[in-house]
Amino acid sequence: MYLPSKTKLKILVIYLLVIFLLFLPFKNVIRNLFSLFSHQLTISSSKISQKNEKLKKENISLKIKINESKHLKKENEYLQKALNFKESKKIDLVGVGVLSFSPSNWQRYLLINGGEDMNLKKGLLAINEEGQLLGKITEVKKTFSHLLLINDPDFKISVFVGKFGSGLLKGNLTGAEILYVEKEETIKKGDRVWVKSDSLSFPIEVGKVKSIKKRTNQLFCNIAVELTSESIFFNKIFIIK
Amino acid sequence: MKKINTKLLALLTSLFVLDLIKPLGYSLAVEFVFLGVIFVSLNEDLLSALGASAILGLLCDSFNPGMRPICLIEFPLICLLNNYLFSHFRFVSKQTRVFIIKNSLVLLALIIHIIINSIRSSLFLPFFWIKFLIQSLLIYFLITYFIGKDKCIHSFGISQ
Repeated sequence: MYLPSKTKLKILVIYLLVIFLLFLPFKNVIRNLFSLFSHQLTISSSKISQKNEKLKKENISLKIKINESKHLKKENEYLQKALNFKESKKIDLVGVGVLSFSPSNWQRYLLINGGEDMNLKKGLLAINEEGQLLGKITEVKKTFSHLLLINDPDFKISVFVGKFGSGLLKGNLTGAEILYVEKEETIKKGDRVWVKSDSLSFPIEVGKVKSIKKRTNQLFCNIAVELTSESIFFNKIFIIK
Repeated sequence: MKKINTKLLALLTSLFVLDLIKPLGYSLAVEFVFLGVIFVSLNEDLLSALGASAILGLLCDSFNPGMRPICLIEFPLICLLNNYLFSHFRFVSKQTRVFIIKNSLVLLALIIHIIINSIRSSLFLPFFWIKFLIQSLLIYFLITYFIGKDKCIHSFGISQ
């Protein structure tokens, strides 16, 4: 084991004493410096924590506000869409409610709570809140009307397919099909199916081309359509006047 | 002529209301009124069943504007056919076979309904037919299970 000699120990003690004596007056300075540093450190940390707490509070209040606005947004979304559609297209829309459905499953009729009292007429088109075609009015009474849905077998309307095609849209309970299409080479799967009449300055969305069928001995081709308004529930319907 | 009891009258009325409001929209391919007609034709005497089916047919037709009175003709005819076939098979069959015969008649009535409506609308929709058959049979079994228990027994003559 290594042990220092007595002289070496003495020198070491003297050396330590000198250092101690030399640095003693600076003790306060060092302490002050340390305190200052620690103070600064605590100040900054407390500032950060305060800021953090403030942000947390803000975050919570914002979250509450978001939840509130989500609820309001959901509530207003339905009418907002209809309003936007109405304003953007500048059309006269009338909102009507559904009274009842047709009891038969082979027919797609609706009884709506608007008739002559709302100036509804036979042949007027009905759309949903997104502006997609739902059907047309077939009979108008004083306070109610009959609405034939787009997928009813008796529903017929001339439609446009893609950019150049046109044909007669007919409902078939599970969807719809377009008959008497001539320019089938210009039509492809996924093409837009739309309606446009003289009274309307804009097209109404009907659906998309699902499949194209043509037999060798047929003059025209048949197109299966995937309807965009295949919602099973109807809350509110809008009639284009 | 036996009177249709209030329980059955309430059932038929609620089935008609269900058809009008369609709580599940068009996702459920079931005609509740038609199931009610089948139920009445198999569990009631001929005259009251005919009366009930004619009234239900008239109600259905009144909610389908511009259409020929198909339901008014179809419902009593199916009721008549079901009642005749059921009474005929009941005499020649054993009691154990009655359940099968009764359900076969339900199936037959549903198939006739599909054929009539498909011809009328000139549509060939096999997927829709299968959906209609399965869902209608399931709902019919539910109706008979919850309401028609005692009626079935009475019709079979087991309770006597």
